[in-house]
Amino acid sequence: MKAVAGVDIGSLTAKTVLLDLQGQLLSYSIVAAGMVNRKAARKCLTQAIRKARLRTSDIGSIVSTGYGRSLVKFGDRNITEISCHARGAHWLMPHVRMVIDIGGQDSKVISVDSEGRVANFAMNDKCAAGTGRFLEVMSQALAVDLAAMGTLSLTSTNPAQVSSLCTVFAESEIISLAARGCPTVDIVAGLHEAIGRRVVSMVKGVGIHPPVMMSGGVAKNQGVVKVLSQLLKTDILVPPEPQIVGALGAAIFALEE
Amino acid sequence: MGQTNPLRSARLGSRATDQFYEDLRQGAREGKPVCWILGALITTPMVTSLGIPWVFADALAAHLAARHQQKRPEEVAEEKGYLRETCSYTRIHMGCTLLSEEDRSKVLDWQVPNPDFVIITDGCCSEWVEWGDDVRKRFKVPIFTLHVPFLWNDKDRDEATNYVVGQLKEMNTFLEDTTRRKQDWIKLAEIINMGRQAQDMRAAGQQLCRNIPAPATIFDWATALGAVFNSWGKPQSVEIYKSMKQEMEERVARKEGAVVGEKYRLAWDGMIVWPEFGPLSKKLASRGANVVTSAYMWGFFPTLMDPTDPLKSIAWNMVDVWANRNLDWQINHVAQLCEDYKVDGLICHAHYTCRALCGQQLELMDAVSRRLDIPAIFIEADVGDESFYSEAQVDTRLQALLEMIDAKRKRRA
Repeated sequence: MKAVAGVDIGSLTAKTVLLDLQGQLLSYSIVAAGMVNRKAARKCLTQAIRKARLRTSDIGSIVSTGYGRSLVKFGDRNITEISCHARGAHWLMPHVRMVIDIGGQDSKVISVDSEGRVANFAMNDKCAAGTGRFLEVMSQALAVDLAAMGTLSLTSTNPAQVSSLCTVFAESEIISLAARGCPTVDIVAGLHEAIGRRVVSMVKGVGIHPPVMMSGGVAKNQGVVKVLSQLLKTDILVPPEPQIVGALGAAIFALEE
Repeated sequence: MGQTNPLRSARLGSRATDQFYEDLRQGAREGKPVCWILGALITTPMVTSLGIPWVFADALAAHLAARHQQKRPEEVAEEKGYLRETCSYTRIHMGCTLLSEEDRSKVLDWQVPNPDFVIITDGCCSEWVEWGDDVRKRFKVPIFTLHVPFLWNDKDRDEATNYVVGQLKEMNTFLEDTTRRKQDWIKLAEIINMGRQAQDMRAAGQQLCRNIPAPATIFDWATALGAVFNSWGKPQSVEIYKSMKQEMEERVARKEGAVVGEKYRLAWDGMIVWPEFGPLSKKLASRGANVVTSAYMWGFFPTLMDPTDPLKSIAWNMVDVWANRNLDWQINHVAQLCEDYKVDGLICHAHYTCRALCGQQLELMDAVSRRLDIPAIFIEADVGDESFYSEAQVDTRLQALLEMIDAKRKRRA
C-alpha cells in the first residue's frame, strides 16, 4: 500500500485526492459528473491514480464523501462532507475555525475546533437557492460565462437589488432588471450579494468564528468571496483548489483508518 | 449495524385508533351529533362524558400522513387556494372535506362524519382559529373557542387556570345547549380518573427509558399515540401504557434495547415527520441511534389529573403544556430531559408549515447544546407534507450529528 484516497461525489462534480502514507498530497482529480453517479467516481479515482503514477493495487483505504458517498461501493467507509470539509480545511490551514462551503447544490457553514473536528454546522434547506447550480442558471439567463461572473461583478459600482434566491423567481427578476436596462455587471453583483446575505444568515446561526475559509466550487467566484468578506467583516481565505477540500478531508480520514 | 426492535405492545395504540374511528362512524350512524375538535384535545373528556363522538382533526391529519393518504387532500386544498406554506394539518384536513367522490378512493381512512359543532382553542397556535373558521363556514355549524393565555411566569399559573376553568364552564353550557344533553359530571370524574391512571402508567414507562439500552424509542411512543389522541380517559389508554410498561420492564431485565446495538442516545425536539415515520426510525436504528426522549411526544396531558376537580385538571393541562411556556422554561425542560435520559445529541425538527413551534427553535437548540455540551442539528421537514422532505439532506445531517458525537467521544478519550 502506497497511498490512501478520498473521493467526494458532489451533485455536479466528482473529486479525488490521493495522499501518501506520510500525509503528503500525491495528486487530485476533478471530473464533471453531471449527476451523482458511480462511473464518475471510478473515473475520477482512476485519473488521480494515473496522475500519481500509481496502480489501483497501491491504494489502501478509500473514504467517500459528498451526496453520492453511499454510491461509492469501492470505498471502505463513508463520512459526511461536513466532517470532511472541516478536516480538509484544518489540514490546509490549521488556524481556520470556520468553513463556508458552497457547492453545486448546497451550502454549508461549519464551525471547526482546533483539531479539525466539527463543532457545529448549518446547511441550506433542500432548495438549491444560492448555490453553484443557481449561478449556472443565472449565467445562462444572462448569457455570461460562469467562470467570468466573479471578475465581472468586481467592476460593478451599483449592484442591483435581487430579492429572491429561488432559481425560478430570481431568473424572472433578472430578466426584468435586464429589460429595464440594468447593466449586466450590476445584475451579477446583485446576485452575488443575494447569495452572500443568505450565507451570512447561516453564519450567524452558527456564530462567526474567524479565521474563515471558503471551499467548494463557488469559492472560485471572486465576486461572492468579496461580498462575503464585506458582509462578515473578515478576510475569507481561499485555498488554491477549493473544490478538493472535501475529498482531501476524506483522504485524511482514510489515512487515519 | 443496528436495527429496530419495536415494542409489540405499542401497536395497541394503532388498534385503538382503528377502533376509535369505527366507534365514531357507528355513533354517527346512530344519529348522535358529531364534534370536531381542533387543537383542544384536552377538552375531549367533557365531550366524551356527554356521550358525543368526536374527531381530533390534528390527529386525523397526522394519521393520514403516516398512512401516506395525505397527498391528494393537500393538492385539493392547494387547488382551493390554501398556500403550500399553510399548516399541512390544516391542508390535509380541509382538503379531505373538499374531496370529490373519485378522490375519496385515494383517502381510504377519511370516512369521518361531518361535524355538528366545532371546538377550537387559540392556545399555542393561531392557525386553529382560522382553520376552525374555515370548518364553521364550510359546514355552517356552531363553534366554541377557548382562549388559553400564554404562561409567561409560573406565578401566573393559578390565574390562568381559573380563567380557563371559567371558559370550560361556558363551553359546557355550549355543549349542553348544542347537543341538548346534560353533562354527566360523575362520568367526567371517572374519565379524569382513568386519565390519571394512564398518566401514572405512562410516567412509569418513561422512567424505564433512562436505562441503557433504552427499552423504547420515541417511535414506539408515537405508535402508541392513539392512547393520547383517541383513547384518553378510556380503559384502553391505561391498558396500552400498562402493556408497554410491562414489556419495557421485561426488556430492561434482559438488557434488551429498542434499537439493537444502541450506540447513540438522542433527543427529538418538535413533532414527528409522519410521512417518513418508518424510514426515519429504521435509518436512525441502522446507525445504532435511539431517540429516547422528546418533549413533544411526552408533552400531552403533562400535569397529573385530579378526579375530584375535573375542570381544573383539564385547565392545568391546557395551561401547562410545554408549547404554552416561554423559551426559558422550554430550554430548561428539554435540557432536563436530555440530562435525565443521558442523551448524546439533539435533533430539532424544523417544520416548514408550523411556524408556531419553530420560531424559537434555533435559540433552544443553541442553549441546550451549549449547556450540556452536546451536538445538535436541524432537520428541515414537515409533519404532513412530504414534498418538504429531502432524504439526502436528512441523511447528511443525521450522519454528521453522529460523527460529531464520535468526535466528542474521541476528544474525551
